[in-house]
Amino acid sequence: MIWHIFKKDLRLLWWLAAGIAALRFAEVAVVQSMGLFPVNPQLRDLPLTLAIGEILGVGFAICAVVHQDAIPGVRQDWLTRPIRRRDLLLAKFLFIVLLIQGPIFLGDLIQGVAAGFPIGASLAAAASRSIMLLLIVDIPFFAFASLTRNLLEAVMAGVLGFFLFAIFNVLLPDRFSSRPTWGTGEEWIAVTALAFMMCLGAAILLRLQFFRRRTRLARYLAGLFAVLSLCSTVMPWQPAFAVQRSLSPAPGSAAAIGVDFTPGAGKIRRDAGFPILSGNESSAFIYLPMRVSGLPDDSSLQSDGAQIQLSEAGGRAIAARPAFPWAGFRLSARRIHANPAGQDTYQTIPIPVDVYSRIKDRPVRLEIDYSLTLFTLASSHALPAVNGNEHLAGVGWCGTKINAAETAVQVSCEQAGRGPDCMTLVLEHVPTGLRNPERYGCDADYAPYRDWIFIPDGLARFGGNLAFRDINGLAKYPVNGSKLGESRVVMQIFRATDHFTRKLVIPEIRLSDWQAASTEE
Amino acid sequence: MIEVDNLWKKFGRGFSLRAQRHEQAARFALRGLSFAVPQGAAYALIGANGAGKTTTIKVLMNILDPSRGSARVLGVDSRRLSPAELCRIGYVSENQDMPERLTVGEYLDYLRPFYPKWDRELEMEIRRQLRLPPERRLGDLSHGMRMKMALACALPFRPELLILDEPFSGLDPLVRDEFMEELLRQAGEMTVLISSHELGEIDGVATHVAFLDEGKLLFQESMADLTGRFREVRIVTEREASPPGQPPNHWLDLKATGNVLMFVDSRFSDDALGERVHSLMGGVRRIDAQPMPLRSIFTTLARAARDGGLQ
Repeated sequence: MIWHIFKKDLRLLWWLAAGIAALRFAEVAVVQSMGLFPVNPQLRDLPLTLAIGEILGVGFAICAVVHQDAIPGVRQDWLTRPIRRRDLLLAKFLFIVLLIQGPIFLGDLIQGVAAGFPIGASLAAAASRSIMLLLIVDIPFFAFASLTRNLLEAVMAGVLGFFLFAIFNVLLPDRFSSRPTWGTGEEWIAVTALAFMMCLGAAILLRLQFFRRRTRLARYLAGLFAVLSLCSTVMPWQPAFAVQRSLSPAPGSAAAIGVDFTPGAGKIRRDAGFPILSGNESSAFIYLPMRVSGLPDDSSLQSDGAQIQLSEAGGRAIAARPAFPWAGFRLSARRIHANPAGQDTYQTIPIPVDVYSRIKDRPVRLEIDYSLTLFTLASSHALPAVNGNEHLAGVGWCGTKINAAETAVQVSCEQAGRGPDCMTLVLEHVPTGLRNPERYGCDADYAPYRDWIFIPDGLARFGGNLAFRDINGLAKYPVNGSKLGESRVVMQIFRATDHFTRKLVIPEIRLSDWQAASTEE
Repeated sequence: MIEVDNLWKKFGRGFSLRAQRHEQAARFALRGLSFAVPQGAAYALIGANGAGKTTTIKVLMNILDPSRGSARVLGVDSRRLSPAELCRIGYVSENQDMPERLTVGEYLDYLRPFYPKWDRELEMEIRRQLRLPPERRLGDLSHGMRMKMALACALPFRPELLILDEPFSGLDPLVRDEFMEELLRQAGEMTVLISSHELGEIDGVATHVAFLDEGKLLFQESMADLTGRFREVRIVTEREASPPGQPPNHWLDLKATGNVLMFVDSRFSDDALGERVHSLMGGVRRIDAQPMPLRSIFTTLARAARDGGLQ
């Protein structure tokens, strides 16, 4: 009778499924019409708006289909009919999979194929996003809808849930440091824990509701699982990184790497080519010269997080706090073959202003427990600097274009699946081999499965701008506008190979000695 | 067919640690209800609004769980009613939410495959008799038409047990007659449980009756016994009539006007009445005992129950 119940719901709610399909295909059409370089600023945000509308539409449609045979209440006709509860549950699930998630999957598949990706890759990207949507959006919405009688109840419960979520956020001591994995490559661990908790809760609630109709108990449990799900997002750093370490693709490959303080290198100098963080209202920044030794050829290193501890010379603790890239804490080093100089770098350390003012001129002991990731070069690619448009194996569909101000080459790529963990981009004049300053960046996601970010669609997008002209005339680039016709963009893709920890101890340091210096000093 | 044993149903919860306050915080819709519906009976559950009739039926249909006690329907615990039993039970209620956006025809098409014994010809006949327009959406039907639709959905599979919860509530006389005619035409061998707050509505239909008040069963018996034991008694005396000092507790609703004393005898017996009257009162000139219409029996019982005089 599953199919029979499904057909009844289809007869009643085909328009909702059609609406979601229309939204998804409209989004595909907008994204395809924009290509790699959206020019119309109004259109640029439209896919995101459509994707959010699509998610809301999914929630509405799921509630509508479940409420056709609502579980709570005593007046529903279906309760007195010989309808197997299992059939009813599976019929609703079938509707969600085929008519709500189906059009989204189809839209993703068409989008991938239209963007020129192979059918297999497009299929995998679409399936990956659909599974993630099913686990994080559809099934929890399904369970939530089964707790409510009608849309009004669902909306009211949703608003209440939103307020409780807001209160939870307010109660957290610090929204970001309470969720240390957010914005790091390890974020997938918290998201996986969240998805697991939501699915476990949803499975229990659906079983309780469809087979036993225990709405009151199910509502209490829903509250409990909502709290547990929220708590899973505040996963502490150490266990999250321990999980990540255990999943290293090539464990031990970073065994030879050392991180040392090299005071002889002197203070960092403020110049046009190096961005200096001067601090903000809550943090002061110091820059420690460091040497990263033992890096393999063609590799790079990035800190994912760290625990910083400052103490008096006598051992009394002054401050201890976690530090992450999103808070300004960075350690980044690279060793490109034939250019080993990249191993010398500066460590940016944010220190609370009140702590800094108190101890800046005193000798203190500094300890840093690093959580690090080693990346190795996976592939190198090149494409024309102007109007490039190519499918690069392992990278995706990439294009180049000169920006409207004619100051930089825009590089934009799309990939059906995960983007690179780290990437370098450089503008190179082919006949002479001249190169402009390289751009290096990481937007790492160490998830062992495919991209879990499902908004606005299943494609990963990455790229950057490579300057060739300074509008103020201060910087002179070896590869300037006149050479662009004979130039190319060289792209290097890095993948994470090992996650490891290192401890740095500086027995005595005066923080004020390591503020940035201007070039005139 | 149906056996209800010490059924309790509590709504709401008491959070008080004291048991007494806990009891007060909760509202008991059923308080130890027990009755049995024999096979082939047309059993009427009678009671004022809030007496517990609908709650009883919802427990029987496994829509509500009992707080205590149990009910068996077609030999199965009501909490374990499965599609196999629900295939044999027709249900019609004044509070029945059907999918409003489906038409009459679409909903019957939807229900048909769930019932192995669904008789398509019977369905057509019932639909014709009740004049249900197949293309009309359920949400657009009037209350009367909706009740007829509920009946049309409950009969084509020839249920062994038909449960009707306040089926006549809010129906105009014409629709009520159409509904009743169809019901009687199809009733055949089926067992019927019907709830109503008016005895008059089940007059000529019910073979058994149970009277509920505030979740308690005050009595249950066959309709023949009930009508047989209730009499409106009128006693004419020689002097000014006054009720006896210690009237029997089955004399209900005693009223004296001039030299006439009137009451309802709820345990009427031709032989015993005269004897009892003469033993309690003097100067009796005439005793007149008339059978009562069901509606009068119901109002008398309801009043007596309210005043605590029903034994």
